[in-house]
Amino acid sequence: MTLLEGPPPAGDALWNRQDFRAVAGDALRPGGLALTAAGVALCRESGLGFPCRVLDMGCGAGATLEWFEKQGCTAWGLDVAPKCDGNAHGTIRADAAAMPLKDALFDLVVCECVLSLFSDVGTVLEGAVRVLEAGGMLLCSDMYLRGPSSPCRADGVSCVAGARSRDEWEALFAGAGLRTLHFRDHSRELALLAARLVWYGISPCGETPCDASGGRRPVGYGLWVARRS
Amino acid sequence: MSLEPNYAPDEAGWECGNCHRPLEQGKVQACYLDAAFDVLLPRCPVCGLTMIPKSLAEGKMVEVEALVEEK
Ligand SMILES: [Zn+2]
Repeated sequence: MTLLEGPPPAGDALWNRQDFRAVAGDALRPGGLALTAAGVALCRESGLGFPCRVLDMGCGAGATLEWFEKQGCTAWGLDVAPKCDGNAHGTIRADAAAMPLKDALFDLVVCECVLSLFSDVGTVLEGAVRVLEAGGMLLCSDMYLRGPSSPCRADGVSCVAGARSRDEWEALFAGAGLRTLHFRDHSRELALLAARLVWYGISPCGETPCDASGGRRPVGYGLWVARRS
Repeated sequence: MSLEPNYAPDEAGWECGNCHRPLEQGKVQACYLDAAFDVLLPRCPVCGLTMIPKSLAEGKMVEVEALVEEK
């Protein structure tokens, strides 16, 4: 196998790289499908009817879509470059920053480690809210800065570079008309993924979290459940 | 698909002290708390005694341990 030979293609997002995917599996993010399941359980506790109509923004290889379908949900995915084989899943090739779908189609919108890739998160969230029914829910997991604010800011290149503080995330949700119901810290899943990358010799190609402060890494991984108000 | 790192002995010619058999490269798992990481290491084919080369013990293992345990 030659997956690890040679330098990774420059400029390719970590989540798209073949070597990264081989280690992270089809669920290309910290926590994988277990975290999706945990998030959905939180949504149901907060009153989400289930099975439901769900949109996965940035569905990638479609692992989350498949999971929702197995639970009896009607699942659609949105991705600029869907990697689903064939067309087994309902995947729409589109940019989440220009939401092409009609209003109020879904009970749940899922954004797993995807929002921080966008330079204009507010616009993406407005699109997500628009396709939600009134009372519908957003399930979001993403990097967040645990320490005091860092000078590093979104350049649209990687999750880590786009990480915001928890307060900043929740302000963005509120600005789009979403009320945050739950927050859970899942930084351990992020640490495990980072450890796997190191172990299997995959360089995160310069996407180093801003840990210049020494001591604990200020980048954590959070999961939010918010409701369209 | 085989991605696991392969660590040969730092010096060649090791054999198992119990079984007097030359060590062979075999797949083992390093565990940190609840996380498992595959690696190919020199291993006795009879009793399974596994050697951890210094390069691994002082390199990746330390790095990964730090990542896993700081959270
Ligand atoms: Zn032996």
